[in-house]
Amino acid sequence: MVEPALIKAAQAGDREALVTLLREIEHQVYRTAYYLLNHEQDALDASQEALIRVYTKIGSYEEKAQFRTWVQRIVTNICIDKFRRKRPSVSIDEHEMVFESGDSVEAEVLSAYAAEEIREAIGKLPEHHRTVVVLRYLQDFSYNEIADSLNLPLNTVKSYLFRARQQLQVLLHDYQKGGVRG
Amino acid sequence: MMCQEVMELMQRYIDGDLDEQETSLMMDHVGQCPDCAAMLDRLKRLSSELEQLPRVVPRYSLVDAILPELERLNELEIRTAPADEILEAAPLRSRRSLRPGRDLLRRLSTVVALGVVVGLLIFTQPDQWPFGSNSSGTNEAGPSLDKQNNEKSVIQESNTNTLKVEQQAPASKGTGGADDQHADRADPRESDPGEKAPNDVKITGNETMPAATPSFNASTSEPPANPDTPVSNRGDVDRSASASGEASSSGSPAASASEEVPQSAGIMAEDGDQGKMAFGSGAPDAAVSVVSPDGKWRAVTSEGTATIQIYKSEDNSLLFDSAAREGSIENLTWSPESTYLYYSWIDAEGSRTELMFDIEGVQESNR
Repeated sequence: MVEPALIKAAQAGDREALVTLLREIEHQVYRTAYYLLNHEQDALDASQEALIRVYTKIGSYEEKAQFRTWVQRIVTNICIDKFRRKRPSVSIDEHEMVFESGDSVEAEVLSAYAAEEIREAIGKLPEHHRTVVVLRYLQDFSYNEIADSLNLPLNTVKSYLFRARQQLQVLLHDYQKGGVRG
Repeated sequence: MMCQEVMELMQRYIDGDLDEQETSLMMDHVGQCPDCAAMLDRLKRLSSELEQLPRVVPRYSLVDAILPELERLNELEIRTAPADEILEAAPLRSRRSLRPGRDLLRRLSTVVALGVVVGLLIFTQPDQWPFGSNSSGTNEAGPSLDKQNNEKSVIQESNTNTLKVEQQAPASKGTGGADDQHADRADPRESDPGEKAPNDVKITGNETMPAATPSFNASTSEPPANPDTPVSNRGDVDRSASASGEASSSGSPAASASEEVPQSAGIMAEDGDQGKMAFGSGAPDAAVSVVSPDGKWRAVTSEGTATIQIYKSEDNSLLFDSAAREGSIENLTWSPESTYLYYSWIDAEGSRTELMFDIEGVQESNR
């Protein structure tokens, strides 16, 4: 939680406060970028871009919004731009076609999914579903906070999140059963 | 309760979003429905796995990595004023941005606004419609002008409008001078920083001027041969409309060419034709009426229907009422002698039939 006083000082032009503030948010920014882009170097680049944007735009932050939703809006926008440029989004049907088996024998006896598999499955979700899941689980955002960050209606957030969980459940369920499709 | 409804409850349950009553509703169902019970288990497990995803951290300090960049931004700010705006404009696309879509939208909205004004002027001052005046050699331009052409000219008009607006901008900011105007007009990407930091204006202007001039010319002089091309017509309409509301009383050939309300998709005025066209702007079933050059006849078609009525202006009597057909009528055009009305019928499938009506023979026929 970033102190409101620190934000105020940063907005007033205190460079040191602004840099301190960036240090406080850098991990949360990186976490979102990492799970959205599913690629370390891309995540590092996107996070730095987001932090610079926070630095330059701090004056436009208004207190009526939560600071952390404002920050997440910046980083998700940058990431969405990035992965739109990088690869076209793939639908859930197509994922199943390309879903690779990994080590299916072990997978069957695992009681839990490995983080790696979940991360891969998240990476296969359509961009909005992915973003909602990341904010919900990696930032512990409420429905409302997600809606504020993404500028989406509350019902849309819920429907994205619910659908995303169903898709993940299918992806991971298949995986655990062996998941070999062709 | 349907399993589908329970699915939503289960999803919200996972997020801790259910009240007591909803929870017991869900539990009742899950108790009797093994499928839903299994689903609830899977969702719970998935959710807890998601919650336990590793909180990854970057392998080096991101803030340290960007400090030199922040320093550079700082210096930039100290060197130039007004600082905040520079910061916004330089590394990140600024609000006035560079995105062509937004720019186009701005231009289009200018055109729409202009169209409404012109439409109102024409409609509220019917006695000033300049009938019967002659414009030179434009007959062939009229009927052959297709929709794309019209649309193109609308865009061109919007370019000139926008340019006019932008030309005024630097003057009002007190940074005047010809170079500034060129810069502003040229390319918003280049000129943004220039606008915001007067110190930089000269450099920006010089850089962008060569690029600016051709693009400016292109939008105003593209069809160079014919003085009655859509661009020049619209330019005149624009000027006369904005001047004083004498929408078309100047009597010059160009100004007496027809006006157009850009919103009225599908119904196109014929540039350079002697006919006059007016629109019932705002009415849901807007009618288009085109008066013949000699003023004796008035052809009317309604937007969305493909019928044509021709009235005698003298006593408003109906000369001709076409059979009802599907589609729409476009390009209503009178011959210079007011003896023929030309028009195109676009049927429901979108195919185009060129028709004409003979006033003396009182007969509609294909062209």
